[in-house]
Amino acid sequence: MSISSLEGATFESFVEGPSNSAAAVAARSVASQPGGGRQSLLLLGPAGVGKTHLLGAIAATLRTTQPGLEVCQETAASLLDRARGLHGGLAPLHEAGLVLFDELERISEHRDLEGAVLDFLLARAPMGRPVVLASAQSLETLGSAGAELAALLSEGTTVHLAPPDSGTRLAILRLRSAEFKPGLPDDVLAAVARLPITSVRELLAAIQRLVAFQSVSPGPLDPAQARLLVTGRATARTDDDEPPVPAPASRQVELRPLELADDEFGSFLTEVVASVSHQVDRWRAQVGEAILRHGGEGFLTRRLEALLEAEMPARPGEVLDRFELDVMRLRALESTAASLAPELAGSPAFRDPDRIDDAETALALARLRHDPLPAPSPEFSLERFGEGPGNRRALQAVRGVLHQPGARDNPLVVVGASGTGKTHLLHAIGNQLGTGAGPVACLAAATFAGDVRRLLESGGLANWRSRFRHAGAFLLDDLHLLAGRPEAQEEFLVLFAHLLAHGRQVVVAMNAPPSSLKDIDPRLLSRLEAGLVVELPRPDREIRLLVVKQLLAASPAAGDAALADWLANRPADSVRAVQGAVRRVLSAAEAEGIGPSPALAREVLDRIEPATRPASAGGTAAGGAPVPVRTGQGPEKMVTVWPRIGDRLIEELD
Amino acid sequence: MSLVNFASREITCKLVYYGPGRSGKTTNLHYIHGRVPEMRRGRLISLATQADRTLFFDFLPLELGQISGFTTRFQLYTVPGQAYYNATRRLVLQGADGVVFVADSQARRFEDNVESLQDLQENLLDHGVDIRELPLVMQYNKQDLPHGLTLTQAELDDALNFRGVPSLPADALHGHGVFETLKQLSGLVLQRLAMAPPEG
Repeated sequence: MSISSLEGATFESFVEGPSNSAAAVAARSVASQPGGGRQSLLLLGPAGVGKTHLLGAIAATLRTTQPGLEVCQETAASLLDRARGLHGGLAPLHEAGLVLFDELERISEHRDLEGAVLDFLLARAPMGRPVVLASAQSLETLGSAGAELAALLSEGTTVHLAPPDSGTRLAILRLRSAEFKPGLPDDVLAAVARLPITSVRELLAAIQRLVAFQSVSPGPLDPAQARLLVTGRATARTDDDEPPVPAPASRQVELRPLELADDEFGSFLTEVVASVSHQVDRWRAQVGEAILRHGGEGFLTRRLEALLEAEMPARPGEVLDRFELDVMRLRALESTAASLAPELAGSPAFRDPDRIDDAETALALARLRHDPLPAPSPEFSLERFGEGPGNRRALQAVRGVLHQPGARDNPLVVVGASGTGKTHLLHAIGNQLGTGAGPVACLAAATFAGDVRRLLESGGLANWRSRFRHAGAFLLDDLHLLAGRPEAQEEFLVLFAHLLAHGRQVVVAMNAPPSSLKDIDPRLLSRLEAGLVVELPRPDREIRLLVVKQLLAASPAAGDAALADWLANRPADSVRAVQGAVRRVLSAAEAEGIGPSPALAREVLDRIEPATRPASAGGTAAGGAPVPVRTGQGPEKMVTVWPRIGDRLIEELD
Repeated sequence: MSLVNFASREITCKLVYYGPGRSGKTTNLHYIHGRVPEMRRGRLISLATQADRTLFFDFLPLELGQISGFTTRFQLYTVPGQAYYNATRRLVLQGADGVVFVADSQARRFEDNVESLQDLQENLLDHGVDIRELPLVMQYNKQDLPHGLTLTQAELDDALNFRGVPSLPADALHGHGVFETLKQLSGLVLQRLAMAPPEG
């Protein structure tokens, strides 16, 4: 017999008696071996005799003993929702390991419901998949569907539950009374058990009312008062026609306000107690319904179960509302994830309302798989990055970052003029970091700003943010190009803070120290300055020699030390300028069909681009030849300014 | 409105008796006060003029004890009926969980009843409360007076109770209908006990 159909129904809390022992045995059998020996079990009995409790007990047992078994627990309302396409429709009921369906008697109320029940029974029957149904009415009374149901369930077992006898009622009352402090005296429980109450629900309501009354009475209730409160009559008929026990005269006087029908305040108090008891405990019913509904859908309901276990929780409504919101959020996340990766539909990652973060991470990973982050170019490696006295400190910092990414030097800020190797270094770091902490995002600031602007106009910024927030490391090149783009700076600032807070490595490259950048949000600058700022200087001779040797290695001039020395000795603003010079020499040699040599290099390079003297501000070289001043950031945009117009004329006419 | 406080385990209901002057609001409270066991009631606070007219308001706290683990209190208020005490009425009405409109059944007070009901509606609106959303019970008092002087319950329903709220005939002086009215209103108010507790 059901002690409570909603508060975590188990077999342990089910009080067995002659009226329900067969049903309890059958239910235990299903719980221990679903489908073993029978395809269906039908529990038949009037309302309030424990059918729902037994269904809940089966589900609770299987959750513990066979967590992998999919158990669908349905009511008329939830099945009607499925028939209308909600909660995944009826299909999950075809495949589930076990279906528990309560309120079978309601199928005659709605044609959709009737169709839904027949649908899942017909689908499961050929496979021999078990179902347990509960009905308050016999199948013959269920109209046209009754005959079909009887045929479908003919192979199964039907067991009947009857209203509890007085012995069972007393056992239920004692169990329930023990939950209250103070409980009711045993003679009161015995008196109530003898009343002809046929529904366990009514029995539980009666005890709730008695306990509430006792709490506002000067002393414990006696049997006569209890009978009066439950039946409205002091001499209520009992099951065994036991003559009512008159209350002692002194007690009658003491409790007169509660007992006498003509006492107006007592009558008023009776109604208030009943209303308050019903309303205050209503949340338990709502929480219980939510557990059944969401548990049946596969969501974990630990939070709600804990709520029911608490005797008097604070703000239960808020907890329930929050839970419902979390379930809705999980559904939305699952739906989006399934649209990106269908195999994620029904994934356990979207079934735990206490772990929304995990679900969001699962969705973000699905997004990343579907639309990967911009990765570093594999062409760049640290091995190919020439090391010299000038950039040794920067490279040491990089090695520190690679040793403990996200831990110490975070962010790492690489400062250097155009062509000094910032991009190479950034991509090399990205390649070296690998994807251990998540995918590495490596992109140019111009791309970043362009994405932000485009998505602000077209939408989709939230998804974009989510992708980057799950990056294992974030590397941004040419950060100075965010100047004057406040929306992109704001996005980067938020992303930056998020990544740092989660221990992800951030590396940015820019053409000037943070303190000298213009039109950049001061909050961003201060955060950058708080990191490790390292500088990549213009390439010194050692670096230039390494670059030259790397390029010559694959050419006919590999090993030509004189050519390498000559090229490395030429001053250059950037590695890119050195690379350009070598390529021009190699190209000229190939065009003329001769081997590269210092003479050819002199001829090619000095004719096109006389060697620069970075330290010089114009004037004459050692040999008295006029030397131009180059301005601009790189070789591609080089402008040559001649201090004396005559020198330029000589150059032009040469 | 403050009904259930799950944090402090308290249920507090504020019920206001509203109606035209001399309709019997204070008489209702006096009758209730006389019938409530001493341990369950607070002091009836009544500020009246020499002529026994309510000057400010009457206040009767009822302590109903622990019910389902909640300390349950009812606070009954009346308002001064005279037209010039409208500010006081509005003040007393603030935060009411339910209202008993005590109408005077005498035919000659018909207009006073109508005006007072309109006044109630306006004062509730001033507090942002729609009268249709608030538990309301109509009590037609003084039904003990000779039939020639009074309107019947049906006539008063036609005139005042166009929202179809519960209505009861009463004779507050002798107690007839007083607790029935209180039970009706408390039932309506307690039905609204929400799961979501109010702030505080």
